[in-house]
Amino acid sequence: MENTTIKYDFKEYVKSQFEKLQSTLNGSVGSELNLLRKNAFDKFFLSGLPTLKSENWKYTNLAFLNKLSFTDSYSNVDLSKLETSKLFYNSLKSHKIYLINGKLDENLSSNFNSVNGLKIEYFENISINGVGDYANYYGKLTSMSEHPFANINTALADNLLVVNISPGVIIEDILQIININISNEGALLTNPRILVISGKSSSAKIVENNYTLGDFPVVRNLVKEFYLEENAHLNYYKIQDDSNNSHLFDFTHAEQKRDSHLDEAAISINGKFVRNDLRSTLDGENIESHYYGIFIVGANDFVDNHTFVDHAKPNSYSNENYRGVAFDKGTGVFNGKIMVRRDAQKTNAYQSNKNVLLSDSATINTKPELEIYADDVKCSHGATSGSIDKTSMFYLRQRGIEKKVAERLLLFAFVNEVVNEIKIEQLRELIDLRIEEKLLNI
Amino acid sequence: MALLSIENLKANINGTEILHGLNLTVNAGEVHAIMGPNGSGKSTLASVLAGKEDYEVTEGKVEFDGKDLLDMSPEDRAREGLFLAFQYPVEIPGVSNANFIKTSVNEIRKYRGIEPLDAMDFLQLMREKAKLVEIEQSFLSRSVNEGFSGGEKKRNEIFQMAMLEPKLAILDETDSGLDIDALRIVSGGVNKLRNPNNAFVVITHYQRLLNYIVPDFVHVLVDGKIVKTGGKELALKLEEQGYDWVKDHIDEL
Ligand SMILES: Nc1ncnc2c1ncn2[C@@H]1O[C@H](COP(=O)(O)OP(=O)(O)OP(=O)(O)O)[C@@H](O)[C@H]1O
Ligand SMILES: [Mg+2]
Repeated sequence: MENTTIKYDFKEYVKSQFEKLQSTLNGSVGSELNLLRKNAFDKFFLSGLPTLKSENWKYTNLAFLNKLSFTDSYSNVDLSKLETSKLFYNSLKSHKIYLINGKLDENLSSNFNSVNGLKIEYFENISINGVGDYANYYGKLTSMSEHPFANINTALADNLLVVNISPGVIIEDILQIININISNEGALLTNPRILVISGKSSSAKIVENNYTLGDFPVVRNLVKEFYLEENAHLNYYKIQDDSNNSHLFDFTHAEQKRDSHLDEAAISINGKFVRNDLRSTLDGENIESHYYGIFIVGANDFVDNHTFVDHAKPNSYSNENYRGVAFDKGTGVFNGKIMVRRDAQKTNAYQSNKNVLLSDSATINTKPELEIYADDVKCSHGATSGSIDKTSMFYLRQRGIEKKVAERLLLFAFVNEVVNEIKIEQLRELIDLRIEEKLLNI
Repeated sequence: MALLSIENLKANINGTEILHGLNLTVNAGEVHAIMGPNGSGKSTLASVLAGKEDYEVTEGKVEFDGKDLLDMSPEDRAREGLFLAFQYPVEIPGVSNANFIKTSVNEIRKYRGIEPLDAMDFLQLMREKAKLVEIEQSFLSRSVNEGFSGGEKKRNEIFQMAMLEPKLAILDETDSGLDIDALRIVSGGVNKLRNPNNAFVVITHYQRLLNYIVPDFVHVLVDGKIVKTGGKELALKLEEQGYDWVKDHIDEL
């Protein structure tokens, strides 16, 4: 017999997890970090899950969260069957950091002592042990406390991964953060937490991958904080190419100081549900930031990108380029906001979102927003959604190319213009392979 | 048997009839020129033959190499050996010329049950044909027609034709926008590809081209119909007298 009643209430589940954690604290209940945690929980609990009525969630149906029956056991994970060589992006030449259900796995991870100027630090049971010197960074970006899922993460995350690139250090090797979620008994909620500090005049490239293994649905509620000090260079590429029962909330906030350079990309190739929130604060002059995004969404899948680029100081540059393809019953959302504050004269801020819809049942909702309070700025934004260009299709078919093959060729070219912006050749090749594979489903 | 036979072809676009019952027969080994005023339906004819979906054929019959052409998808028409050099070749950012033409060659080979060309053979063939129309190697790695000059686009069309070796090539104003050198190169390419088994339909406004590509027949298309047919001297006459003269000397009604 089919049971269609709601079995669990997500909000109550978060509460039970929070209370469980609090009960283990004893003396550290009043610590600064635990206050942050409590505030975050209270904020979430007060307003609960956002509904379609709230502006930032009006296309994002979260009903599935109330239908999943979550398990409590994070630790009952059998890693013996984990064959890391089968993880698609593992062939990427890189130093690897494995987070299994949010916890660092030292056995699988590379040894980082050999990489000069790179500190990989990991804090466990942070509610008791704190986060050491990183207390000045952890959860300090105010946007965090305004976001329901960032609040859930702050309330529940008990481990912290820190990637700290020392001032003046240029790291040539690629760093790969591999988020693995495994559940062997029921749905799982995990709250991985990552802090990246790019020291003054440092440079690094980080690739993040997400894998959900096992037969049960996982909700990965990931929060990342990036701090780019003066003249720091950071390339952060998040690859969201997960299994069909994966659900991902990604909240990323980058704060940049003067002369720094950020390249950030969200490459969403597969997964049941993805919600990305990207906040970027350009808090200095002469900053350059690029935000790239691709989403290819089919079946009944959903990918939602909300970005907020905040120009707080003069003379900086930002460029955002997102491309989406939706087919079958896939749904995509792009909501990009650029804010240019009064002080941010001579800002150059650009945004483009182009989408292709392949079926009547596919949808993409796109909304660019500009909010400009300075008078001497160059800003542009544009969003288009349409079908594949008919003239190009006819041209290709006139050369004997099958309709489907022609469509794939054009779509591949369309998204590849963004893939080409990724500065790691081997990663581009791997992404291209997966995109080609994905496009076989259209 | 004719390679192409068009009988009483009528075609609409958005409910407006453009071709009003057109007849044309092309045999293997022949070159036909089609001339006619702007808007008379020359490109429409080419598009209908190539299978552009915006057009609706309401009457008539077209046989190509013994098969019902109008029944086939655009790609199958191409695979059967019909090639259209477009009046306005489209730019396709992100798809390299080489990848495009390789996909095209191999899709056609697949249809004909031939093994795909391997990378080496393909490169070899591409070099050879690029030389024929005097295009630079660097063209091949650039995106299809993107940023090409008008003349370069036209040369690229002829390059593709050379790669695909069609049975019937329709060249829609391939000479427009070409300088004298390019005109010589393009027509040289066409002439080298001419053989007793293929045929060309050359749409043009200028008699000049026909000095290079010498036609067996010249047709005049006015208001969606072929109204006059003659030898190559008809083109000279048209150049001197203009289309008003034709309207007074219509072959058939
Ligand atoms: N979408 C359309 N709706 C209505 N009429 C159209 C449409 N497209 C083309 N036409 C008309 O069809 C007629 C024939 O156009 P066509 O392009 O075939 O002319 P042509 O002989 O190739 O002219 P040219 O020498 O200028 O290239 C023109 O009058 C044109 O305006
Ligand atoms: Mg024309």
